[in-house]
Amino acid sequence: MPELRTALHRFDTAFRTELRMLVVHWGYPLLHVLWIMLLFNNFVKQPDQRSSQALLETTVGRISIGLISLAGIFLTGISASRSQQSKFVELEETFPSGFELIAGRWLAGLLSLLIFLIEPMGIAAIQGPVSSLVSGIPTFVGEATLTIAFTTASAWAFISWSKPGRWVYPLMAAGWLGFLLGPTLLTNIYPPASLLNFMGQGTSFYSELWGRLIYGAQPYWFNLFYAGLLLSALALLALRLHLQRYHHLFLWTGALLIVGLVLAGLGGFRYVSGVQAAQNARFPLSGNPVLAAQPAFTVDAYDLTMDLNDPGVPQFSAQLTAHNIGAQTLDVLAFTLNPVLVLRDTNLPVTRENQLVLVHLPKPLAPGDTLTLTFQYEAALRLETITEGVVEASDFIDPKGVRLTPEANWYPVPAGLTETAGLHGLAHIRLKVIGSDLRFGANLPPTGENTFEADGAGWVFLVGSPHLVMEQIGSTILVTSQNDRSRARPLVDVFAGPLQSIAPFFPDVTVHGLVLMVLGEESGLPDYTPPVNGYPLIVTTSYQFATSPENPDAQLEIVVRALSADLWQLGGGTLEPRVGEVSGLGKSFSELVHFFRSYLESGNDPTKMEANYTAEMARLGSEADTTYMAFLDVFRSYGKAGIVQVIRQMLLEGDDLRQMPYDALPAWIRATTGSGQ
Amino acid sequence: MDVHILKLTKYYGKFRALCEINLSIPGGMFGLLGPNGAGKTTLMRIITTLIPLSSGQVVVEGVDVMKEPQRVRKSLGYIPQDFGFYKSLRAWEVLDYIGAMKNIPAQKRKSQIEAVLEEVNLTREAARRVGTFSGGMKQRLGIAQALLGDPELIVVDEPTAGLDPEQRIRFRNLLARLSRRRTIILSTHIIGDIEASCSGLAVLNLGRLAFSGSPQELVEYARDRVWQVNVQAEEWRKLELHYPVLSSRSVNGNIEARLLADHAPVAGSSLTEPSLEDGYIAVMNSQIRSTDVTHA
Repeated sequence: MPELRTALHRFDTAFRTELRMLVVHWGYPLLHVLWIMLLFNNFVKQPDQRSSQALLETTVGRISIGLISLAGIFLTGISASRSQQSKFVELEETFPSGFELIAGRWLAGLLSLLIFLIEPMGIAAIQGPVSSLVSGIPTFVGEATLTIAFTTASAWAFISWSKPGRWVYPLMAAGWLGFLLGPTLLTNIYPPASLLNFMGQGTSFYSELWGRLIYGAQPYWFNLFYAGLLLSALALLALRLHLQRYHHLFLWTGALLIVGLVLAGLGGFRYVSGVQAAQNARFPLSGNPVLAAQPAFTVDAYDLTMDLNDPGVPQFSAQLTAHNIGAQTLDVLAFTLNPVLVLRDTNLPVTRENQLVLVHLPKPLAPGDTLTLTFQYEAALRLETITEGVVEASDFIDPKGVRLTPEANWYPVPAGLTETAGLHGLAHIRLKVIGSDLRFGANLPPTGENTFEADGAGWVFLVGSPHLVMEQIGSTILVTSQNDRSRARPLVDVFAGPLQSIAPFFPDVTVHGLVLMVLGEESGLPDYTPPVNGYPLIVTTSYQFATSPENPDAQLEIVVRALSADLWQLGGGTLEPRVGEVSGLGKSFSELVHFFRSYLESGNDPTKMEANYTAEMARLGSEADTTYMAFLDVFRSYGKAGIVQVIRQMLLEGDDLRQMPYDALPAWIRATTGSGQ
Repeated sequence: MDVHILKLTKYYGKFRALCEINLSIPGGMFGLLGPNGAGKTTLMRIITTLIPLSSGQVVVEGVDVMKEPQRVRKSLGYIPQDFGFYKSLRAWEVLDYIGAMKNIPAQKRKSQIEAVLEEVNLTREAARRVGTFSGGMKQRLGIAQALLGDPELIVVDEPTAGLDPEQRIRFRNLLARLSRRRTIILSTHIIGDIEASCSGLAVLNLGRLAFSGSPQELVEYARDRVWQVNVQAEEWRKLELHYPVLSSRSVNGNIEARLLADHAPVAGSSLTEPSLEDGYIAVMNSQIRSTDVTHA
């Protein structure tokens, strides 16, 4: 024990002396000033409207960890070579001290670097809310400590073993740069290479609803890998010291090295396995058109219940009303259902072939007839994708959160109806979640506790999280996260106002309200996020609008386009994919959106609209678009009623419009009101 | 504190720096003489546990330096040939740091630091940053740190190299005073340092032990072999080719010199009283001849 006490005393002295030499130096406060300037310039002058935790998990946090690691390499170089540089090493090595001397000095260097975490936490604190900051700090500080400790211990071990000259600094900086860029480039070829990205650079997404749930155990294995390497580096450092100063190895050093390597091996293996599992898990529906022909039946109504009483094995109950819409009787009804889900009971005999569920009807279903089908099924569900080598879950059911998109195909959908998995014809959907403490939201309006119901729904997007907030603001149902709530509320006006102005142009569409989901979770959602009857649906992020306040025109364009698309679909219109050639219909729809935007900006005064438009075209150096001018002419001549008439015709003659050349569109628009004749 | 060196050999790769050295160093001040490259520093570094030996044994007060280096370090003070300190620290902080590394309890450390600073006359400089110290002050701080913990063995490697004559004398006196209660191994190639203070010495040459004994024995090594000659310049040119020259000077066109020879080198030569330096040269000369024979 006296030996331990004196060793601890030496450790303490070495720690304090090194800390004093590092911190009580003019360069140290100067570095802090530069650091504050850099952070202020990047994150305060150009704010990122996400929560404190999101900033710490992504941009601010990752840049901080990366740059402090770089600084750590140089600082470690200074510390590790200080005795050599000042010719103190000859004396130092004759003292009856051991590893505690290096450990104390290394730890002092680490602490002096960790002090640089205060500034990014300050930047994050400005963003708020406090609860988010409090939640984010432990993970941020923990991972930053691990990363910086690993970097500095490795650098110290390298310097200790190789005793290089000053040339090693640029070499180590180049190594840092290599690890910064290399894994990102390598992940395109070999996704598990993301394990080498020890600073976690490139992470730009953080889910306010689920935090790291979407990453599963991968961050744990990643951190374990580096914790193991950290222990190994420290063990190598001790090993070097013991060989040099004691001329033999100590048992604890070897044990520490073995433990470190085992942990690193385990963490690395599990991480790589996780990536490979996600790589190999081909989602069965993708690229697998089950039936070439359109089904001769549709589902008129879904009554879906998800029971999460046993979070490990969620239970599902689906009651469907199938409707033969063809001209022939049907013996078999083909559905798709995620093959992970195990059917427990059905009211009619079924056979399964991968994702295909064939219901064999005891009595053929005559044209126009309907039939009630019930399915009971169960299983945990987790779909993963890989983004830059990082595994992310797009759909999952977990005690800590639920995210289900059509891609998960978690309820039976008529096979072969659409190319996109999980989408189906418009139906009445009632969805209820039971047995869970989570808060739920959906693209369907809520009708009770964790119950959602709507007509005319072709898909379901269900989110569940302890951090979810759903509130009614006017006629808008806002679904967002606790942390985004304050930033999401102003978006209600951003969308509700224009909706109120545009909706009258679609008099055949009933609008009860707006479902506004401010989530930041957009993967797996169908193009244009189709609405349900009476409720246009907007899925967006809180920061999408805040990041470009200098361009209000572009913002309004996004808002108007999203609302117009939903009203258009509620009116029975279809939209073209966002990529690919734009047809006559697409062009006319696009100019209609342009018209709406101009209408909102100019206070529905056609003269002002034209003047603004002319000025905008002059600024851009473009010619006036004849299709837009046709909309304006109709509006000038017939007012709102004229545009309503054009829209009705567009909806009625969509197929003809699709084939129409652009230059024929103005005449067609004018003709709808008789003005072009 | 006794130091026993038994058949000590040290290789750096294929180069043999020390060859089967056998040496016993009793208490007091012990000098280690030898030309540059003789292996003195290597021997010092082995005794101070800085480097491992290749074969043989070094035992300090019954403790094997290879088996229990930490025990040796606990009773060791070392002043290397070329050393420095963390420049941003003050002299007092340096000593406090080293005191902690030497396991001096905090309550005793302060008084010890004050005492050693007093000993080396640096009390007034205690609050100065070491980076501002002159060579002599740094050397004195080196002595002060070596004295911390009251070590029983102090190893000093080429200590007076950077000191002016007055500082050298003061330093020698200090070492002499310290050696009354402890063992001091003083490595140097300045014979005056040894002559003034050492009770025993060894001469190393080309990694081998050339001599071991007292200073008087080294002097005796040259007895009856140091000749005084006074010859003309032409004759001198022949003589200096055949005999080791201990000293020479020009007097009225003739050369008056002291030579090392087993017999009178020229007619008129006279034997003179040898010095420690003469003994050293005699040893080195015999070593060279022995090496020549060996190599022949």
